[in-house]
Amino acid sequence: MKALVRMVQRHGTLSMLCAAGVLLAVPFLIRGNDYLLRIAINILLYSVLATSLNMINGYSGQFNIGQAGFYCIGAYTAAILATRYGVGFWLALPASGLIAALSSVLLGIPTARLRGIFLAICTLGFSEIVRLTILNWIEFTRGPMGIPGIPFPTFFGYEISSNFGFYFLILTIAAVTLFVCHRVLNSRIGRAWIAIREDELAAKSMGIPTTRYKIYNLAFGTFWAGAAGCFYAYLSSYVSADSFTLDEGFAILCMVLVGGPGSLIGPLVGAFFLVVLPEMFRFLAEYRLVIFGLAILVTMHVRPQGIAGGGVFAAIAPDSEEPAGKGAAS
Amino acid sequence: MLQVTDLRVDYGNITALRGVSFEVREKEIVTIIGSNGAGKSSTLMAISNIARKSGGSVHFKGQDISSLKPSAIVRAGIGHVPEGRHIFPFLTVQENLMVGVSGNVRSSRATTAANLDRVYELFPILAERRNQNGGTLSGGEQQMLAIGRGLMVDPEMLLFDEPSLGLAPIIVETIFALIQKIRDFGKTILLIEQNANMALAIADRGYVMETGNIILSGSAKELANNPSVASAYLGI
Repeated sequence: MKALVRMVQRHGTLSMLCAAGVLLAVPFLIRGNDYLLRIAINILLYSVLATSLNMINGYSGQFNIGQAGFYCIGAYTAAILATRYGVGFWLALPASGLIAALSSVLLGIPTARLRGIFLAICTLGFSEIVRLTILNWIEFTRGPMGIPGIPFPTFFGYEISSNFGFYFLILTIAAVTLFVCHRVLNSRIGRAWIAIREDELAAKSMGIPTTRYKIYNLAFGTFWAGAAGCFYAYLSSYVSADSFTLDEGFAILCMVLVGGPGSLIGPLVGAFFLVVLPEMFRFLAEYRLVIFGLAILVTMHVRPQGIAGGGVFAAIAPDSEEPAGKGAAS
Repeated sequence: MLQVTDLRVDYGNITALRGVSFEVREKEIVTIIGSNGAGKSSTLMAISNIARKSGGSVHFKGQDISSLKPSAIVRAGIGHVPEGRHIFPFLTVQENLMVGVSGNVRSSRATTAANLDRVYELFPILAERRNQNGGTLSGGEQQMLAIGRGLMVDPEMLLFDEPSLGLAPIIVETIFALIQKIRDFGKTILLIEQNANMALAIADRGYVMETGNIILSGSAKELANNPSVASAYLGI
């Protein structure tokens, strides 16, 4: 493992190319096996969701556990746009993201002063409010009947209707998500978010309008969750409020925590493990979720910073990092 | 340049400032000295509007900034180097400095590069450690980083809150020499210190605080020679 990490650090571009090659080759290797393809699609879908949550929890230190609510808003936006207004996938995708981001701003403005567990409870409540509203607003969302009949997305006239096609679609979305997140994190805005996470007082005294930046952060993170919701709606061609329970939100949160918050690779690793593990233990029927829980406990015990968190892929090894010396003489 | 009038701060039932008035003129180094709990830090926090004022006003260059947000005050031209350094431990030295650009109203690619060069010139050790995480620096280096970050904001006025806190005497001397150098760039400085000796040595004027009041003011030389200041704060 250490050798692998060192190799990745030394040959950044090369390993990126290798990873891209593997990801592009995978569907050809498992073509025809819809079960495996669907798992691969789920891994990528949850990678986007976990990345979107990581932008918030991992980088600005706000604690959002209601990501399923924004995922749900994105999915329903896409479903309604597609079935009622005949909007195509490529327009519904940014629209879903924007609507999710907009609703996060509406949530963010009154809760901007809340921190830690208080914000967490608010987002949790929001997630449930979204689900229950959708479940009961029958005229608009068809309530418990869900919205069926979402058409297949098309790409330059070519209809994406197989898992093979959907794989490349979500791969593209995941790549764009990661690329944009990477660029934003290395910009002034990204640094401001990290500054707020590390020390809000110092961030303020550096002239960062912390409240506004926290709301930007929430909007940015939930945008990608909304986009993921759009993909999900098209993938299953049917949306129902049952798919967006709190469990879904907790699963996304677990992926971030297990993978390593505050690193770009972490959520991808987390999504991979937490999608694959329950599948591997399918023979245990209901007990497979126990394995899921155990896996989380073990990771938190062995690597509290997450599998790929805490600077595994940074220049400095985690052991040599010390917290800021408070009042230590030089 | 900075005019503080009848500033009051309460923390619940506890009154920290009981009507503090003072002024800082352009390109001066003014120091506020006093013992623990005298209200020095509260004064700075109230100027930056991080602590809530219960009365009084702050004017900067004739403009009333009493109720501006902390970030707007930085943009108006008052940088704050907080007590206890407050660097970002998991950002690299260079990233720490780049955060300072957020509050810089005149920032462009060119000014940012120039400011960065200036900071690295002032603190060569930071240049050496630019890719190291802030948390791995020693106390003195962290203080330098905090000051450097304040300089990246490039404000007209800088507030320093106890830059000597927890540092070895030899490092304190370096830091204070640098504060003088920063004044030579044309900055105005308000320096809060417990280390009255060092502060009065580099300041033009000073104020002495005790239990939320300013009890003495004068030129740095006068204060240093004042028998009651000497006995209470200089340890002579």
